[in-house]
Amino acid sequence: METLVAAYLAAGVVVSTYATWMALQNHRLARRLAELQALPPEQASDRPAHIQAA
Amino acid sequence: MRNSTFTGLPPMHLAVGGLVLGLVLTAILLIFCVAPTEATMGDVQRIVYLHISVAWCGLLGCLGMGACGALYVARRNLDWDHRSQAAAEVGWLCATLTLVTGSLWAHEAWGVWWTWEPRLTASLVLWLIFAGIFLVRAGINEPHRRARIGAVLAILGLGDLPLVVMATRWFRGVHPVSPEMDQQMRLILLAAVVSFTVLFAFLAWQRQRQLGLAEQVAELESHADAV
Amino acid sequence: MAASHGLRAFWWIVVKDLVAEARARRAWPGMLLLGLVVVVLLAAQVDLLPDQKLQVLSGLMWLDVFFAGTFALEGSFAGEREDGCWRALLLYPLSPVVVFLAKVAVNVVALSLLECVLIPALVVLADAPLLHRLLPLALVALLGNLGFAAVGVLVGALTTGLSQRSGLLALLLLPLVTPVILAAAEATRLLLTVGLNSQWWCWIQLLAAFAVLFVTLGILVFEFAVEA
Repeated sequence: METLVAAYLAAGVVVSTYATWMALQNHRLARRLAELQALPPEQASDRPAHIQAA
Repeated sequence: MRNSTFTGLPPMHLAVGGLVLGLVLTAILLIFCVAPTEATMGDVQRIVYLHISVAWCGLLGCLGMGACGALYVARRNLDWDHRSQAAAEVGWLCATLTLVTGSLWAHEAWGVWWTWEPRLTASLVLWLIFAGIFLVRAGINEPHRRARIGAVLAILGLGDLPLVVMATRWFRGVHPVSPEMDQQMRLILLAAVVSFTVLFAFLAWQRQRQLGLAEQVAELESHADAV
Repeated sequence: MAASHGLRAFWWIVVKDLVAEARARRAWPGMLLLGLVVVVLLAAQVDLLPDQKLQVLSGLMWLDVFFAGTFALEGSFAGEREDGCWRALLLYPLSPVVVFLAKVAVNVVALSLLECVLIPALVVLADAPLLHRLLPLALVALLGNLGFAAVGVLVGALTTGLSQRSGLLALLLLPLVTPVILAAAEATRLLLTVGLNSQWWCWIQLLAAFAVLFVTLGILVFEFAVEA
């Protein structure tokens, strides 16, 4: 009986971990995409402000 | 239509995802509550529904990986590489689950966790092929190069597929050729296979979409850095 | 006309590689030494009863061929990589298929040489009755070498440009050629223990199928694999 539960639990854990990871990635990517598309070209840089100003 | 702020998914995709989840939960309900208990092995036999479903999806993932790789070779469109990678990821997860569930079942049925019989060996080799391809892909940064190398390896990896599928018919081993099931069990098995296939297809579809998105972001970031 | 040109180009590359290897002695001595060292270790450690030993030896021998053969495959590409020779070779008006087939042929020769050294060594050191059925064994070896070389040349061409090179070839190669190695090992084991029977023919057919499959895939995909 434990074997049965272990098998389905393993499947559930694998699938939900993968799905959650993808959801978090999606969240991060969608936000980053919105940021990049919203900014005007001169300001859209990854360099920190103090280097950018130099 | 605005994307949902949390998951970055359009509401339509979320709705489909909900339906898919419902389908899978129904299948699991069927497996645990409706399927009759098998005479010799008892409740543990219910692993078979999961095992066959994920095994089928793993093979489908390998086939998808190879086919999309071949389509990249033909079309040179990175979308095909994203589909190939998504199919490979989902296929590998399914291959892992196949080995795990199979091993758990083997411990109950045969008393051992593993045996070097043809189908198991070929399945482990398939798992290793997936893993090797991921490792190589991870080490390459340029998208088209990664796609090209991934595609060739994926096509080569297809060579193991007929071995896994036909192993029980071509060689004498201990893995059962087909499950001994009555009509009701077979119907539930079909339901399980279909719902898990839909689930993994949905995951692969979302992953492929995500890879395209990541590609877009990377391009915009490199343009921004160049300014 | 094109066929004879292709055939001449094929022989030219094969001879070029063989002569280069004979002069520079880059990879094959290492391959032979590695193969021999492993045989010595095997023969010393596998201290079993004769019929148990026979069951185990064929698998171990083919693993040995695999690892030593990977050495030769590495060498096959290392020479070209220096001074941009690989690029130059691909720029010649040759069909990439000819380059692929020539490389496969050279590596089949290398693997056959390896087996010519390993089999007598195993006969002497491990008391393996491999010489009794030399012709069937040669068939197993030829088909196995062909399948292995085809995958090896293809994967080698792919990993030629990558930064993490040498370990990667072995890592990738093993799962892809495991069916070939297993089939060859089983066929050899049957030769040692039971002899030629219908099961042995099944394994030969499988080996032949893999050889055909991988050579065909190589012909179809090699040009794409070696693009810049």
